[in-house]
Amino acid sequence: MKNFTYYRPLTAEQAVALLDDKWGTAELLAGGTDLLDLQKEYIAQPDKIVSLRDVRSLSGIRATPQNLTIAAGTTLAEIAAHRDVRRLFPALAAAAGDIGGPQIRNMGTLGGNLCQRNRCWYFRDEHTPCLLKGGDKCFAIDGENRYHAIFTQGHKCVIVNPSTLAPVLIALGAQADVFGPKGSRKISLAEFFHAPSSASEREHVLAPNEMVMAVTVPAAGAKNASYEVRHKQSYDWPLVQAAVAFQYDNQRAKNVRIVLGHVAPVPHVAAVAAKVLEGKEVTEATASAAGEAATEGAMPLSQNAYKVKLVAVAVKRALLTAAGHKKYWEV
Amino acid sequence: MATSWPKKRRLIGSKIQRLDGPAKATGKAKYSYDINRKGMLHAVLLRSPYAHAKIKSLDTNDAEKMPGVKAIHPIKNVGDELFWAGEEILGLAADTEEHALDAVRAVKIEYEVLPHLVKEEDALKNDPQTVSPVGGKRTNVLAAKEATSEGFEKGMADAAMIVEGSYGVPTICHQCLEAHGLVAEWNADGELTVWASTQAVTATAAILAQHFRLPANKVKCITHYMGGGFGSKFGPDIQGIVAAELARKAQAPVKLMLDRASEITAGGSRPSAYGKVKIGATKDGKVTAYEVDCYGTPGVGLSDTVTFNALPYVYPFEYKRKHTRIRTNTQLQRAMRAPNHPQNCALTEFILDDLAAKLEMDPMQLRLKNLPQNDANAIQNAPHSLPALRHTIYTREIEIAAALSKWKEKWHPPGKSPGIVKHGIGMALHTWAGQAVPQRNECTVIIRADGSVTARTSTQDLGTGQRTVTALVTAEILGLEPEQIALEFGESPNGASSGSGGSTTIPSQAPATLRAATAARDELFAKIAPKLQAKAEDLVLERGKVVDRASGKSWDWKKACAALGEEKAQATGFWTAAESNKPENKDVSSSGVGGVQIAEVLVDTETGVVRCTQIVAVQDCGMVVNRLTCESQVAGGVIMGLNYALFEERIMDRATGRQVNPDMEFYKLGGIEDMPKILVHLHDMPERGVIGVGEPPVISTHAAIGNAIFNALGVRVPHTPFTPERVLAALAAKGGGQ
Amino acid sequence: MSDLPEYDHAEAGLSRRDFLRTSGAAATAAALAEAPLTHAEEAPAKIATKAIGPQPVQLTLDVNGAAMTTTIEPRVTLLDALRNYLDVTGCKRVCDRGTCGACTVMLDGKPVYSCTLLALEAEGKKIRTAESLIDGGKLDAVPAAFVKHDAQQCGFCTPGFVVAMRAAFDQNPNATPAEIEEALSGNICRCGTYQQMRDAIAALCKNQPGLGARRKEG
Repeated sequence: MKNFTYYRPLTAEQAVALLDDKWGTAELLAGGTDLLDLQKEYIAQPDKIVSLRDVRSLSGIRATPQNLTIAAGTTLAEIAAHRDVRRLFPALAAAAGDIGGPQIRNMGTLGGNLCQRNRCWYFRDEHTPCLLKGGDKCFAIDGENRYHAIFTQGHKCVIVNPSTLAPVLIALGAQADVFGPKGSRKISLAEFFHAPSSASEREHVLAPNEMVMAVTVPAAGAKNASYEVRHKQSYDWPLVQAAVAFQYDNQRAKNVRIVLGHVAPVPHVAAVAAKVLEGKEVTEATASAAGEAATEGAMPLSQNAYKVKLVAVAVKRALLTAAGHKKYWEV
Repeated sequence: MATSWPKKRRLIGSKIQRLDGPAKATGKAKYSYDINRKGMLHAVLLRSPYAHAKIKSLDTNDAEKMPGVKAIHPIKNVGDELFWAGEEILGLAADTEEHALDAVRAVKIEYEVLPHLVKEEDALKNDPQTVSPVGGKRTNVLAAKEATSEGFEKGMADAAMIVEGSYGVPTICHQCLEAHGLVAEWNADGELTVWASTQAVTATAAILAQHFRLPANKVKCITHYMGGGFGSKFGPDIQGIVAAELARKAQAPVKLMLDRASEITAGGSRPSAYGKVKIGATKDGKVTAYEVDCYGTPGVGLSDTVTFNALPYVYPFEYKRKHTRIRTNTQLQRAMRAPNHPQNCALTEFILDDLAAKLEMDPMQLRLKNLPQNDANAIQNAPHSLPALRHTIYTREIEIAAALSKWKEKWHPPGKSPGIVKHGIGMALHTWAGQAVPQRNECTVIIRADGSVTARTSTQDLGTGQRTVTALVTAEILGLEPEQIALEFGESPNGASSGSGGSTTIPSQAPATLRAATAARDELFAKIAPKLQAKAEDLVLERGKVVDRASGKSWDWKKACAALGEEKAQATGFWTAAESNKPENKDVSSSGVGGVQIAEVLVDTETGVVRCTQIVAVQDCGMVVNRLTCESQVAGGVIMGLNYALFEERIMDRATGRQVNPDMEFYKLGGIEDMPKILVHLHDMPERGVIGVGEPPVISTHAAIGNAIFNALGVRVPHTPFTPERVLAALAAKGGGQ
Repeated sequence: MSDLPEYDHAEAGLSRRDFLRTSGAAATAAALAEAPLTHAEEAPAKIATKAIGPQPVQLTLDVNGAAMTTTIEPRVTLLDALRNYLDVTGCKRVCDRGTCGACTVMLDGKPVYSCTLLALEAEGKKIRTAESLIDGGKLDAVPAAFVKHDAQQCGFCTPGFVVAMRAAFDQNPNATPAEIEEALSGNICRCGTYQQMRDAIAALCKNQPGLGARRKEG
């Protein structure tokens, strides 16, 4: 990788002061599990690395009766193991607890997971000049796209957003606290993500000199679950993920939220599917119907039509899990 | 004098812990990658990013001036044509790895980009002529090899049932965890030492000696530990030679180890094989004919991607076979653990289960009905050879595998498993040789007056456990424990040896060790007998002591050795294929094994995810020497076969000509949670002597798994890896998912 | 830095200082930036953060209880610092991308991928490698089980597995085999020693009392 100057600020203000207002010359370093890969591939070539390891305000999980606030430097392992996360948001604990392997979970952070770059193999190959590196085409559209987006309408770049936490947090109605040179702002996770198609864009809406400080999740008593279809049982990326949340009043699902992961350049809110389930009991039949409805609008590529079926199954299984049904797929 | 294994065996056949286990488990074992020499430089290679290109211009002036750069060695020049992405262009050495990587990026190089071809199926439609000329022609599609047996036409005509199918396995990569490479160091006398990650210590030294026009004794290769070869590391390769050239230029030691992407794209691959297969049989399951038309890619090379004369594989059917090699702009294929046999197995074993299904037969019964018979000639002339025993071996192994897997209880007709998650069970057979090689393999045993014993050989232990085998055999003969044998392994001056390929090391080395230990013992007796007031011919070794049978007196080992005084007892034993064939040496080592595997799977028919729950592997290998490491070898081969079945695939991009998954993220390998229970049963046949077993266990695993999936679903998933995508596609083709 | 109070992040929640910044009771989100700095340890935003590098800097690492000092550029990973600069070669470089586990070391007791950690990030933390699991010829229980049950062939992945397993038992001496397998899910073996590893795991799980105590402190 290209060499750089390394900084260890002690506060968010110091950290932000070190960032530039354009992407590329300075990078925040949290767990490093994404950034160092990008640097070794020369996709990221910052002159400045701003380490967040000593910024105390980025650690800790705090529960109040209304919500849970997770500081952005909290590791995935800490999230998965936290008593209140497991109690209130089993979807989040499950999602965090299955990302990568234990080493990744000991290093990777919430903020890093939300802001990580995509895993497209064309993007990560220095020798392939794709849109995200200033080139003029997306190589996945007519190329090897088995892991790419199936919700492709209107997208020039057909990556999938790689965050497994994002769909869960969106389904739960979470909000991010973001800090930058102009101060703080809150961004709903539903508006946090962005579909990049050029070298000056990333997978989220933060400015180059902004950083996530914490994510707050309302403790609304929702049933929630996350289901991933994965090729390998050990360390692997999900093929598709479904995160669901709903109030369950008298066996009726209310405020249903269904969000799909790893199927679109941004986490995909399956609004039609949520409507299909709204007000109904969660049964095998209604969960199946919601699953089918979640595939609406899919326009798969040449090699990934199989993901459409997986979406339907993932949604069905996530709903049945959240509602406490027996997991028929586990023998 | 005749050589034979001792009749009473204390250690041979038992479980002996790997002697280098503690060093490996605590990170103390030093591999080539770990060697740090004083003043050592780090080298990297510049590689072509294009699958087909000509070098238009090449300027290293800026690179040479970069910080820390000490030497540059050109491999290709302006005007040279490059034929695969990753092809080596030059090597560069600098004081740190970081500086070397910076400097190689400062090389100014311009390419004329040319058309490429990286997918086999594209060549079948159109031969774009993208590869280097062979016989003056640049064709990508080489003339097919064809052969037909005399009885084929009649056999196919006589068939009451004919089944056809298409099956295939993609190119996969060795993925040795320790990359290829070496550390090279010249001394003031112009002698070269390399610490090489190699499975052929003496050949690596010899090739380097030849390249630098040095006498053999001026080049030393040291490989005490190496992190995996699987057939891809038989010499220094271009990077080893370049490292030595750089070391000579810079007058400093140079380490050049491949990075992971290079290891995958340039360090070796198992070639693909795709074929249309047709099989004919009688109503009661006697196969009458087999036909295959297959192709695969050896990369830019010319090798077959199947073992042409072994199609059909294992079973003696009338045949018509055709194989077409398709040259692509990808790295040369290399031997990979049982080269081409897994491909043959896929092209034979899958259609057998498809046939059994059509005949409504248990596929185990179908196989039993069609096994090769014991050859009458061989029974007379070579009663312990595989041809003489194959039917006996396979039937017995199938019987054992059936019992261990509870086949009778678990098998059901294909697709007749209830529920969303379907159970399936399947089997496959394989074969391999694994004999002593024609080249000389030596081992030297030294017994000293203080009772210490050393066994010395140049051969390598790539994780096979050969080190422990050598200690075990020596200890067996000398009445000692394996831990008492000091081992000097993996240094080319230690004597003659051959590369660990073809499962030939144990059948070549163990008899050499046997001879060396026996001769050293006899020399010990000759030297100490007078001091012990005994006759040499009356002395024998029992556990830990020397006994005089005539007088009944005994001395403990150390005391007896002390009688050597100033001397030592030393002998070098050797073995070759010719030695193994001598009648007086019969059944010391031999060749030819079978093998049967049965796999069980659970397939989630909604997601297509396959989980393998159990694999039973029954493997014969003649006389088992170290039961512990032998079982490990078999289990390890099974796991490699499972990875082949479920996860591995080299994915090439049509447009860029580059591999899209030269990593360990999207080139998938199973972790412990993906592993089935593996039951290994070694089918002991000590009367056959030592036979190598490193390769056979990898051959049939993917076929057993593929057949298990067929049994679960009632529909064939024709290509590995059996990904969720492919399983769902097969179910959809059948009609309507579950 | 090492003289600031330790958090029990998973259980205790945020410190009072942070509570003031992030509490829902705070007036606006801008309170995050504008909350008065109430502790002396807090460096005022106006003081520039010290630049480290790009030229090589001296770095001391706590490796298996010993202070090891070297001079490296900031871009050097912990893995490369250990292997190339400090000649600590138990952890291996295989994928160099945080996907295979051969580079696993413990950092303050937790298994991490040293290839995706800058060496500078490991400053002030306790690094432990497989080499710490042997003491004058006596093997710690975990590598001893690997040897007894033959859970290694070429051995290149083995130190990473041993460290991951040791860390798992340290964290939970009563771990079940399934929990240990999960703890190994970030490690890959190409030779295929998993079956033998399962034998080792079963044996170690059975001998549970005192497993943690058997590890040498250092």
